[in-house]
Amino acid sequence: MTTIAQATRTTKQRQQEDDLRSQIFSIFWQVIKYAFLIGVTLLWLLPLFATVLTSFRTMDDITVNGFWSIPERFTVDKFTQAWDQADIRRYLINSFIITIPALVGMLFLSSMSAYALARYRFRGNRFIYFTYVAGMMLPFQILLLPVFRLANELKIYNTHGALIMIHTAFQLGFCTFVLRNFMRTVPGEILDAARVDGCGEFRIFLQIMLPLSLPSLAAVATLEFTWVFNDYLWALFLLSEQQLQPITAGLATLQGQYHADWPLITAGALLATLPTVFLFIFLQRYFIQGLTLGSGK
Amino acid sequence: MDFDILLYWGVTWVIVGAFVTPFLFHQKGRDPWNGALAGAALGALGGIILLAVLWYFVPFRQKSCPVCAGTVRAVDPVCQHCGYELAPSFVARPVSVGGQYSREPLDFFNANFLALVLCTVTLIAFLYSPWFFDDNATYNGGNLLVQAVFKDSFLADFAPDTLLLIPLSLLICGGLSIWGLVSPSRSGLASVLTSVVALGGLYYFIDFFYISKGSNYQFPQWYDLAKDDPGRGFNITMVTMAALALHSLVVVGPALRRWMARSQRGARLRRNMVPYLFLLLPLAIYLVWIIAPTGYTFYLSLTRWAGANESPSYIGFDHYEHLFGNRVFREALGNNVRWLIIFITVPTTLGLAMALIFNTEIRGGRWFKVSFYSPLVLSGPVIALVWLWLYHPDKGLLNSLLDGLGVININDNPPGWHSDSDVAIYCIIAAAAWRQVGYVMVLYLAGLKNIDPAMIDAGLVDGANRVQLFRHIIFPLLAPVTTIIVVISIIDSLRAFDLVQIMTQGNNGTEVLANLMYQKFKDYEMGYAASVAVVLFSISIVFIGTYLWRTLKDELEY
Repeated sequence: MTTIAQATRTTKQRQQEDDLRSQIFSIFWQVIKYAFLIGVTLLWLLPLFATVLTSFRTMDDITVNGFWSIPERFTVDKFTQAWDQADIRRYLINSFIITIPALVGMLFLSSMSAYALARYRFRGNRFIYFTYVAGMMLPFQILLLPVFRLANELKIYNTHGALIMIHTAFQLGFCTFVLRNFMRTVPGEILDAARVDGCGEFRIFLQIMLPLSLPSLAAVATLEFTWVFNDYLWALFLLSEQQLQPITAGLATLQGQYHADWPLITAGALLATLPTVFLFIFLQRYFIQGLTLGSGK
Repeated sequence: MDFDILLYWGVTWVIVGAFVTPFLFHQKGRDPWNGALAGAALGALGGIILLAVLWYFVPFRQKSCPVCAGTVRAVDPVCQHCGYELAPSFVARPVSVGGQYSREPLDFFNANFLALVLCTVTLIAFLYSPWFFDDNATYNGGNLLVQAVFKDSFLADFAPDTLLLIPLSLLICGGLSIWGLVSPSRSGLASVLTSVVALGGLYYFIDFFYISKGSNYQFPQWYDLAKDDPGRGFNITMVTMAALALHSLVVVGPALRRWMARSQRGARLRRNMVPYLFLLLPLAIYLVWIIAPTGYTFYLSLTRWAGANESPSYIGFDHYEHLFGNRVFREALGNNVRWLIIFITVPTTLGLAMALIFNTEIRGGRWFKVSFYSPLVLSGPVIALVWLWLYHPDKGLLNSLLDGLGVININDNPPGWHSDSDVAIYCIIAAAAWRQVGYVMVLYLAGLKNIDPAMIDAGLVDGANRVQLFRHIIFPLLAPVTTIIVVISIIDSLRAFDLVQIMTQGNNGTEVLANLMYQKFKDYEMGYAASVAVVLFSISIVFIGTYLWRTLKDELEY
């Protein structure tokens, strides 16, 4: 009896020791892991942190005391200056004027074509689909000059219309690709049921398919908003007037205008990112989902 | 009363309205409003008479029912008494009942009536409202019409022959719509014909805005002025003319729908047409703005083209010959290759490592992840500015940090980073990679999530350690994701532009193809720029092809 009891005790003890050891080890491991993670993350965010810090200071302060000094005082002057004097306000408005219609246009058009490609068998289905997929990978550069010419011929060069058009058109490929793959997963019985009840094809699309694909629409919309809002290249090629520039091109101008006033430039840059950052904060799930869907699987 | 008489009466009225009044009022000074008032009064009078005539004298068009001998109205070929439906091809002819024509009020809410109203409005606007201004006076369409015929004053410049198309098409439209109005069985045809004829009138505007621009004829200076600020009459005419051209859709749409619902061929056509109808608009836009331009760039690269106001002239392969001998081009190509090599190695590895870490259970892992994603939402210019400030030689973060660590002295010839041509390109690539890591991580995380846990468990049961697990199970399973990431990285690195343009404008040995193209564009060497674009495209087509092939394979397995 005693031997058995002893034996059990020793196993128990050994187990406890093991547990303790592994616990200590795992805590140690956790500490290492978190220290590493926090370190890397801070390093990663350092550029952004530096930007925020700079924007609340003055250039004199930085020049005299150096970058890593404790700021003499925090000021939001640079933000107001960037907002009013450096015209960030107008650039942001321009960006919205371009982005919102382009977004609405591309979502509507691409969901139509995605619906056709996903739910109907017809001649050329696959070919059209691949045209879209190929188009979404095209480098912008191959389109720039002809589109420049086209915009000139249509007399929409140097208007927001030209940018809205090209963004809508170019992003059709990506949106169609993602939405089509999503729409294929919707069970056909729902659509058939509606069809049997005498629902027209367009109504099926509008009242059944679109609501069902809202999650993927949201994902695409979030991502596309960021892309179109962040576009710089097309604005350079299709707009010549300063007044019409979107925020990205506006920032580039800002750098030329105030090239030594880094607090102002960084303040402008921060203001410029606010819309996308807000979007990212609130719709992060959709943003990530969009990126994942867009990669093909 | 015969219908044809009514028809001719209507047409005559329109002819009088269109041609005689402006000639009458042409002599009486230049104030268009005199003419406008007179014309409006005349038009109203004519219209009232016309409507009165139509209302009282159009006979009730009906037929007797073959079953019960009751009367059947032409507009609704179903017998009121017995419900017998007559053949749709039922052509109504006025019949006399009891020696007298019965009357039926005309249907004024149809397309022909709409067209007639539009015709009248257009005619009045065209003839009597201001078409152009100059400093001295305003000129209405009537004035110009006279000039289009006689060409006897300086105004003739404003009155090309195409101007005659407007009254001419209006005449025909008016006649056609009256015809449609009085013979309901032909109203659809009349409406469609009206639309087609109205297109003829629109040709004037197309010619005015687009075609005449290309001719060598020197217009007087104020022609352009007029073009920028056309008068009310011009605008109204343009809009109503377009409405006239489109109005038959009111008829065509329902008619088409009825036909499709009835006939078997219609039903089949309808079924087959649906996807194409959905695709029509998006695909048209896609073709015009994306596919066609892609091809057109190839042509442009064989031309000399000095900007929007010139037209490209064919010169053959000169640009390409010049390109490959050019030092800047070789530099750009080299930099793109550097960019590409770094992009498919560094951010990919880092992103994979981060994804592997974050794939395990980590408290607050979401926040760590967010901080790695965050550069993804920043635009190119913002990233460029942030990193420019980071690299600033005297005051930037990087040199301050190194100075603090005692590695360099910030006051004594500090490293120039982006302004040092030895490392500048790597500095820019670093900034780009900073954003790319988050992207790669997102994709790998999604890939890891898709891996069947049973596979990992199987590996663990077989006693694999972490490294073996990764080497032999996880990594092979991630292969499709890796392919996609590599392709995307390559394409991204080929089209890199924003950072270079803002950070160095391609100076300090950082030229890349995309930026070279932009420089050439700015120098009005469009053809040359196109050839750069073609080279860039040719390189990336290989990888686009890889990607497409993958998608195609997935598709065929699906």
